[in-house]
This record gives sequence, C-alpha cells and structure tokens, in this order.
Amino acid sequence: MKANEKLRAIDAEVLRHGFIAITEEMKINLMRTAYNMIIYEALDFTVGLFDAEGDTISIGLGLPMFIRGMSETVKATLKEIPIDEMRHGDIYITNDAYITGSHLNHIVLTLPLFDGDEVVGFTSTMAHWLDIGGVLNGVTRDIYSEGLQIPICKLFDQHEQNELLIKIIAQNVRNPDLALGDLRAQIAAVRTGERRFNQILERYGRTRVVDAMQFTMERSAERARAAVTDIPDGHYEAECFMDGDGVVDAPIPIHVAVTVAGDKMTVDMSGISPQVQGFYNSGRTAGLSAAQVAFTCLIDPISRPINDGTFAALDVILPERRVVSAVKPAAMRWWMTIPMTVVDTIFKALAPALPQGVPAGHHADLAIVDMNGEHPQGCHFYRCIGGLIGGGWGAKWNEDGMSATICINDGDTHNAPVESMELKYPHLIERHALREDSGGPGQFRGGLGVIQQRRVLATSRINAQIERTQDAPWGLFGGQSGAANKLELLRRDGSHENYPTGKILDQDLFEGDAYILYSGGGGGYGDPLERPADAVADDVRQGYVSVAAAARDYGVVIDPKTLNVDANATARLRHST
Amino acid sequence: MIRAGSDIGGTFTDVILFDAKSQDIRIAKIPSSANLEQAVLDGIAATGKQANEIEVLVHGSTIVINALLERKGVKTALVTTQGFRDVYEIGRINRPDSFNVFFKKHDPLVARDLRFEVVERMLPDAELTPLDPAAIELLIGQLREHPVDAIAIMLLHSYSNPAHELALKAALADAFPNAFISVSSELTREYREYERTSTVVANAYVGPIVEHYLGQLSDHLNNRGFDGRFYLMQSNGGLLGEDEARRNCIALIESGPAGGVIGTQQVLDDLGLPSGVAFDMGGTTAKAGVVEDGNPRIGHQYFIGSYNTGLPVLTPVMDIHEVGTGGGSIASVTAYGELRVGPRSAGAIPGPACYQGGGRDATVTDANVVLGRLNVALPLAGSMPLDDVAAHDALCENVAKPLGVSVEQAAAGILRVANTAMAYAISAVTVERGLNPADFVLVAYGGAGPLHATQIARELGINQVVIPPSPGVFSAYGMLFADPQGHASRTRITRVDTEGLVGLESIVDELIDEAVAPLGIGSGVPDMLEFYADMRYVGQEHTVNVPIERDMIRNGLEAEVKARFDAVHERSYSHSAADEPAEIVTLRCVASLSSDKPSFAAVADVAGDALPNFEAAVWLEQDCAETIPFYARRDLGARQRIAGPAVVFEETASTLLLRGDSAVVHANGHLLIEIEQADNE
Repeated sequence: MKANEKLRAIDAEVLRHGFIAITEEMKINLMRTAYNMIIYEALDFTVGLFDAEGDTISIGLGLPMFIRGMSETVKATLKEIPIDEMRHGDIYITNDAYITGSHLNHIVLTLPLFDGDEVVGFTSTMAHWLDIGGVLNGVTRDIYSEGLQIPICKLFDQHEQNELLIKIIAQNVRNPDLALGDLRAQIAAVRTGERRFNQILERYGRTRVVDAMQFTMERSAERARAAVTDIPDGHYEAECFMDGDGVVDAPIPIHVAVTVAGDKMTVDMSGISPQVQGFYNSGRTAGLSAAQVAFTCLIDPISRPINDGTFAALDVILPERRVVSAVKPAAMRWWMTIPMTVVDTIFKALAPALPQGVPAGHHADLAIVDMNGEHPQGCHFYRCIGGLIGGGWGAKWNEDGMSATICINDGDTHNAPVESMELKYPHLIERHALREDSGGPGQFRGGLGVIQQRRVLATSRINAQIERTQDAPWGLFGGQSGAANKLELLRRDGSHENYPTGKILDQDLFEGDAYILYSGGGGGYGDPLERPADAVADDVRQGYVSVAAAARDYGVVIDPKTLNVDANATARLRHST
Repeated sequence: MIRAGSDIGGTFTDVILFDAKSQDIRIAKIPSSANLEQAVLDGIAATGKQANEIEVLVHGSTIVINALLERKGVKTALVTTQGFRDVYEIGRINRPDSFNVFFKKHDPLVARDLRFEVVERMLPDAELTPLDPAAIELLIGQLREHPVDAIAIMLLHSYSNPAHELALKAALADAFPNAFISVSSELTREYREYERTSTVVANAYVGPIVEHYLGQLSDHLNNRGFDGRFYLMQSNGGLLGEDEARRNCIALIESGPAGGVIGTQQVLDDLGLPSGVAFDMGGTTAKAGVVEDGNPRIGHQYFIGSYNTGLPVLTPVMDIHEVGTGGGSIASVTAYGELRVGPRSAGAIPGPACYQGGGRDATVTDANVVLGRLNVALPLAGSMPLDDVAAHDALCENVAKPLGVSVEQAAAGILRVANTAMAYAISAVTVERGLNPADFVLVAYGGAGPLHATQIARELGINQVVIPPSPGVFSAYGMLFADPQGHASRTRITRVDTEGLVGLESIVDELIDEAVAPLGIGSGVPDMLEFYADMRYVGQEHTVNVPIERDMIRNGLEAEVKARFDAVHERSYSHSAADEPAEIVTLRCVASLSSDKPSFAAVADVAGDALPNFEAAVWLEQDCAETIPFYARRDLGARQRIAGPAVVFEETASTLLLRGDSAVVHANGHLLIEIEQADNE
C-alpha cells in the first residue's frame, strides 16, 4: 500500500492525460456531429467531466465564459434528482437561464457515470442552439418572450427517450430539424465521454481514478493558493460603466472590490448594478464565471485540465438581483456582454497588486451588427451576423497590447473572410483596416482596433448592439485610454449618422448605404512620455500613430517628411509637458 | 539504376541509395552542417557511390521552414487592393490560448510600412474598378523609395479572376527586373484573403534563398557528373521539378514528414493492407499521419510554427498530428509533486544525460537506458556510446528522489506517461477524422518509434505493428517511392445540379493544364489525373473533401456527386442530409506520373530459428528485471519468428517486443508484430 501511495503521482499523471483526452474527444465529437455553425465554428459550446458532487475535473472549452455553466447545472440537477435515484442510461436536460446564467439557447445535457450502481461522476455538454423560439427582433424585456424554457428533467430515463419532451421542443423552435440534430450531437458527446470514462475506470479501478481526480484538484488548489499568497494582501476596487440596457437611456455601473488575505482572494460584486429591464442580464452562474475567468487568467492560465481545485483559493460575494445575478423573469438574451467587462474591471482593481500580471482595458465587446433582407441574386431572405471584427487589447508591463483580437468572452473564434462574405451577401466591404491612433498611449501602447466599412448592394435591415462606446478601454499606471467602440452609418449621399451608444434598432439601410464599425483600441500602460522616442517614431512609420498624436500624446516631434525624430524639439516638448 | 533520397533534418542529414538491379542499399547519416548542400554531397560520398551513378535524386530539405521559423528571409514588400493592406496583420482574430492575457498573435513577415495598396477592385464574378495605371506608377515610385528583394502581390478575389494580379506583376517585373515577384494566383486559387496573403508573402520571403540554394546544389552536382533527374520533395508527398520549386518553394515547406508517410504507403502496399497509421517518433516530437484506402490523408492548410501563433499557408500537405514527446523529452517533478514529461526537450545538444553531452535532465531516452531497453553495449547510430550511470543519476536526482520512488519505478512511470501522451495524439488524428485507431496497423519509425510502438499499440487496441527496414532513416527511404505530382485548385462556389456541374467544365480544362505544367512533360499526358471537390451543404461554412470523377462534371451527374458527398459527410460527421442541397466550393486536380520505382530490398531466407545475439537484463515490469534475448536485425532472414519479450536491434533503432508479442520477418524486411491484447495493467 505504501508503494502504491508513492506511485500516486505517476498514476495521477497518466490519468490526467486521460481526463483531458475524455473532454477533448467529447469536444471533437460534438464539433463533428453538430448541425449548426455556431457550435462548430464559433465554438459556442463546452463539454466537461465532473465528480460525484458536480465539481469540475476537466473542461474542454469552447468559450472561456462557459467555465461555470455545466458544473452549476450538474449541482442543480443533484438537488432536483437525488443521487440514489439516478440510474444507468439516464440523461438529464435543461436550459434554465437562471441555472446556466445565460440565454435560453444554451442547452445542457448531463449524464451520470457509474461504478456498479453508484454514481462516481458526470459528463455534461452545454451548447448554443440556433433558435429556441421567442420573438425575433428588438430588445426583449422578460424571459417569456425569449423562447422555450425546459426545467431540469429526464431526456432519457434508463435508456428510454422522453418522446413528449422531443415533441414539445419540435413544436416550439423555428428549425426543429436543426435543433434535434444538435440535440443528438450532444447526446453522442456525453455518451462518448461515458464510454471513455468507463474504459479508464475498468482499467485502473475506481480507487485509483477517484484518487487521481483528487490529486489533480488538490495540486491545482495548492498552485492557486501559492499564487494568491504571492499577491500583496489588501483591498482593491475598481469601477466602470456600460452604455445602457437598450430600454432606459442611462449608464449601468459596474463596481468590483477584491480582497486578498493570505492564500484567499475574495471578489465582491455587490457594487454591480441591479438587474436591468433590457436583455443585458445574466444569471449568478455568469457572475461567478466572470470571477473565475479573471482568476484563471491571473493565477493559472496554462495548466490543464481546467478544474475546480483552482477555485479553492477564490471566494465570490454576489448578492441576488444584480445584472450578473439576475432572477426570473429578467431578460437574458444578450447575457454575454456585461460579464466580460466585469472580468476587465477585476483586472483593473488588481492592477496595484499585480502590476506585472494584468493588462490594461480591452475593447470588451463582440461588436455584432445583425443584418437581414432580400438577396437580389436568387431573391431569398438572407441573414448576416456581421461585426466580430476583434479589437485592441490592453498593453502590459513589458509589451504593447495585441491589435485586432477577439474579446475575452470568446477564445478560438474567427472572423469571416471578406471574400467569403461578398460571395454570400449583397455586401461590398470597402475597407478592412487597423484603426490608426486607436491604441491607448503609454510607455507600452494599447493594441489597435479595427475599422470595417460595409456597403449594402440591396436594401437591408440593420440591428446593432454595440457596447462600451462611452467608457473607453482604460489605461494603467499613467497609460491613457484607447479609442472606444463606435458605429456610424454612411448614407449614399455622403451624410453620416452617428449613434452615441452604438444601438441601432431595426432600421433600413438603403441600397448604397454603408455602416462603418470601429472597434476600440486597448488601453496604454505607463506614462507615454516614457516611451522611447524611437519606438514612437517607428509607430509613426508603421502608421499606428499619427504625427499629430505623436506630439500630442507622447511629446515626440516627428518630421512629417522624413519621419525622423526631431530630438531637440522633442526634448523641449517632453520637458514642458 | 540507382535512386537516391536525401533528407536534411535539423540534426542529421540522411542519404539513402538504392540499386534496384542488385538490391544493394546504402545508407549514410552525417551531421547536418550550416552549408546544407555540402551535407548532401558528403552524404552521397559517404555511401561509397558517385554522383554520376545516380539516375534519380530526390531531395527533401528544411531550408524553407527554417528560413521562415528563424525569420531569415529577404526584405519583402506586399501589394494589396486599396483598403486591405492590414488584412495580413489583422488575421483571423482568434485567441486559441484563451486564458492567457499575454497571448501572442501571428507576427507578419512584412511590416506595415512595406505594405502598399493599389486602386483596383474585383468582385467574385466581375471587375468593379479597373487597375489604375496612375496607381501602378505611384506604387513603382513607392517601391523605389523602399528598395526590397522580393515583392508579394495579393488582390481581392484574384482566386476567381487573376487579371489584375498578372498585369501588376508584369508592370513590376519591368520596373524591378532583379526582384523576386510572386503573385497569389500563381500559388493558389482558393478564396480567403488572409490565408492567401500569408501564403504569397511566405513564398516571396523565402523564394530568393531557395533559388540560390538550388543553384548552388545543382552546380555542385553537375560538377560531379550528375546527369540524372533531380526532384524536390513536396509537403504532400509528390515530387517537384527544380524550376517549379524555384517558383513555388512554399510547396516544400514540410517535406521531411512527407517522406515517412509515402514510405508507409509503400509498406502497406507490400503487405496488401489498405490503411495504417504512420507513427514517427524522433528526438523532440512524435508525429502521426494516416494512410487510408491506399492514399495518405492530405490537408490543404499548414501553419508555420503552430496553430496558436503561426502564419497560415495554403498548400497541399500531409495531414499530420504532432505531440511534443520524443526521446529527448525532459521529465521533471513540479513544486507541487506532479510528474511532467515534455514538451521541453534536451534536443540534440546537450541531449539526454546518457549521451554524455553535458545534459543533466532526465529524458525519455534515459528512462529507456535505465530499464535496459536501450542497451549500452549497442552504441546509438552505430557510434555514439551510451552512459547508463549518467542516465541513472539524472533520473534519480530529477524524478525518483522528488517522488520518493525507486529509479526503475521513475523510469517506468516516465515511459507510461510518454506512451499515454503519444497514444492520445494518434487517437486524435484518427478520431478527429471519424476513424477508429483499432482498425489500423501501426507503422512505426524514427529513432525512437520502434522502441515505443508495441506499448502504444496496446494503449490504442491496435493488433499489428510494422517496423520497416532502416526505421531511423525512413523519411529518406520513403522518398524513393514518391512520384512527380502537380496540383491545381479553384474556388468557384457552384450548386450541385446539372447546370452547375456542366458550367465547371471549362474550369476543369484550366485545372488540368495547371496541374500538368509542373510535371515537365510539355503537352504530354500524365499517368494519373484525380479530381476532388471541397463540398458542403448550402448554409454551412466548413467543407469536406470529396473524390469525384471527371465524367461526373462533364455529364452533369448531380445525383452521383451528391451521393459521394453525402457518404463522405456521413463518415466524417456521423450524419448526412440526402434532401438538403449541396455546393462545391473548391475544385482540385492532381496530376501525377508513375515513375519506375523500387520496392523495399528483399531479404534472403535463413534456415532454422532466429538466434539471439546476446541476452541482457531488461525491466519490463517496474519491480523486477529479467534476462531477455537481443536479436541483430541484419542477421534475421525472411519468415523467421521471434517471440517476446525480446529486443531487435539495428544501427538506427531498437524494437521492443513485450510478453505475448510475436514478430515475423517479411520477405521485404519488414518486422510484422502481432500484439497480444490482454489486460496489461
């Protein structure tokens, strides 16, 4: 027994590869068998392996912001269906928005894993269905208008499918074939996880498998505690605001407080706005996800598998009825926008404690422009989810921010090629470029945002929910803000129409009209006057910074003809600033 | 008639000569030098043959990928459509390393101040704005102000209509006769502007270097009387003539691994088997590719470096999955008591501790030495002595002591972890493509592959392992079996109906011309013409690659095309939709010549049982060593059998048979191993 005890680390390492492989194979399986593109292209899904208490052993992401959704759903399922009533062949389902914390499109399946007749864990998948019913356009104000709600129930009862539930789903969604195809893909994914888990269980036995799970989680916890211990104790706060909820014309305040004491970090979200009328709410699970995503980024971004051991060092205080802990019947459809600003605000709060660990603010929005209309070729209805152009990320203590990259809510999500969109839609993209002077000035400059100008070749409808157009991505330690997200219309007569908060609700774009979408730049880090003049001159040569901005923001005088630094003039200007 | 393969790797240059008449095979393995072409000439000399005896010389080189990874290309400018010079820097905006706020994007090979725009605009099916002569003059002026060695041209929708690109190329070639000019439409006619831009820039950036290298190499070869045919190995396993390689050098980007997969294809052909996994384990990584129904699986996009931060290249390339586990992978214990193996590697310098090159870290190779699986009486690569004391010390210090286990337990643990990681990599390359690894044979090669193959096969439920002859130089060996090949592609989104298919007929003729041109047969007819279509259901974005027949297009056989697509989709994704309309996105043509190739060298029969060369203690279980026989592979005759546990050794590798395994020698020298599938825990 003693020898086995010592060999624990070797078993644990072999099985760690096994746990990761289980969720990787579930992920591949779901991507390969899903019907809708949001799953297999935007990776709007997650799969996971959980212990008997519902704690995460391994997650195959997907979107980072899904880090909490399945575990909370497994735990809610354990409350609904007692563990000793779970049976071989059961699969449970729900899309309860106040459990997943997100919108009704996210369907979660959970399958209990057995050793003999005893539950030893769960596999689960959460995936975005293209449609779940509900009204199509505009801003919803309650959950009932957003579609079908499925409480936690048995999709399979001991291998027998719940046919009534299938009929209810088919009757409530706009494209039942697609939805039921995705449902089958999710069933296949949780069963793939079950098959692989059972192989491992058979080969190594329950004691060793459970022990390896514990070993993995304990080590993650130790690593996290050690990292938190290294952060200076203290109380750290930050705030910012969102543009509005699409109904009431008022900013939404986001305030977070972080306390670090010894090996524990506490994130207090009590200061975040109450839930709102428009569909920008998300549930408690999303609030917790925001804290855990920020924590993972700062404490242990690389280790795999992502598991709940890491969060032993994290407490979250999140009262009910905040905009990220909304309760029924709050509208949830645009759930994803606010939590990613919460992540950035936690970074901002911890900047004094972790000056080398956090980036300055980023553009923090998917910047979606939704268009639809009649396609003149073939005369069919088309719908185009435009936007998703990426934006600037914040600078860090040692380097400039990254330009043109997807926001923190998403991960391995791609933009759509211009050549592909022009083939599909009656659109002409006239410019797809970096947004000059959008990076926040600093000793290290924020990354640049993107400009995309898109003209419609046939009259179309436009809906846009651009956020963070007012509170620009902030700088740190003397670094300045990047440019904020922005959307404007360019009518065919050359006139511009501006939308101060980036919200365009159901308007016409006539043939020849265009929109110009500007994503924000990242915030700067450190005093821009400390940026070496040569680095500023190089930015000017590359066209990232204009000659005027070099003088105004950096105190560096550049000869517009030669693009060389005027050293004397620069010294004078920097001295006087 | 002598056929030669030469494979330049990071550490060694392998040269293999095969005389089909006498079945004489000669191998040389010499250290790669900074002067790449010299290593090839030295390698040929080391075989004892002369360059003028060689009829066909196939060359694989890391020159393209190294110049790109080390950023040692030439000063290059990029010219794009007005409004789009930043496409190359924006890329696809994805962030695969999702939780890392210090993530890095791809790093463009051309900085923004050398990216220029011209006024012109094509639409997918028409010209919107003509190429403006004034804009060309302006561009020429800008390029005179910023002198460069190479110019890459990439205009929107040139995959459909390259007229503007070609006109621009002509104008710039007049103005800059010494510049290497590459246009996207001459390399690929697939849509997606970022990927095409990245492809043409990479080609221009390395082009002048490859031109110089090939010039030097052929001069040297000619001076030594070589007058045979000279081919370059492409990433997809086909051969490319020298002139074409100068123009389209990006096709050579991943030539090394391709040789191994082509060799695997030949092994399977020898054995009459349709499908197998090609498993190549070297010093720093293990690679897995798939041969399915006689053909290697080919992908059409490659990343320079890695998926996370790499620049994409649109070129046909072996579909290979790589994992950071090799003989040099370093085992360590974290501050929290966790064992880790790789991806850090001791590389060739200092190398594993047992190489006596100053390495102190414990590696996978050291673990094999500690367990006696690599026997110190058998110097590595025939000359490098192994130090078992150094291996023992490295494991003791870095793994056994921190974990509180014996050195042998630590060694066994390291190998279990490494084998598990590699098994999952093979699993990924098959499962991801809808295949079951247990249905395949495992063809194992590379310096370390044969030592690990039987253990990995057990992890995967694979019943048969094949160790080809000379596994340590198998990538060079495989080059001997490759055929000259040309390929062409065209994105033209076309609904699968009779009218749509017939409308593609004119494109088919163009594709054939483009695919045949690199073969150097003038207006001659290639031995084989294959057609493939990247297809999807209308509304999908991703495509699957479907083999089709030319007649199906010519005669508009929509039902046949659709049925083929449905079948491929069903196998790849477990579902298909017979009633849903489908479309072709990209049409591809592959033209090839069947050259007169050798088979693997025949092995003579030897009467009687195989006799071991010696016996030695090997740890097969972690708790005790046992004495097992070691066989010299060169002494084994065809049809002789060996029962495990045993080790079969040769100059470039050792093969481990576990208890229950039985091996038989094939007439062409392959070692065929039946794996006993039982509870192995």
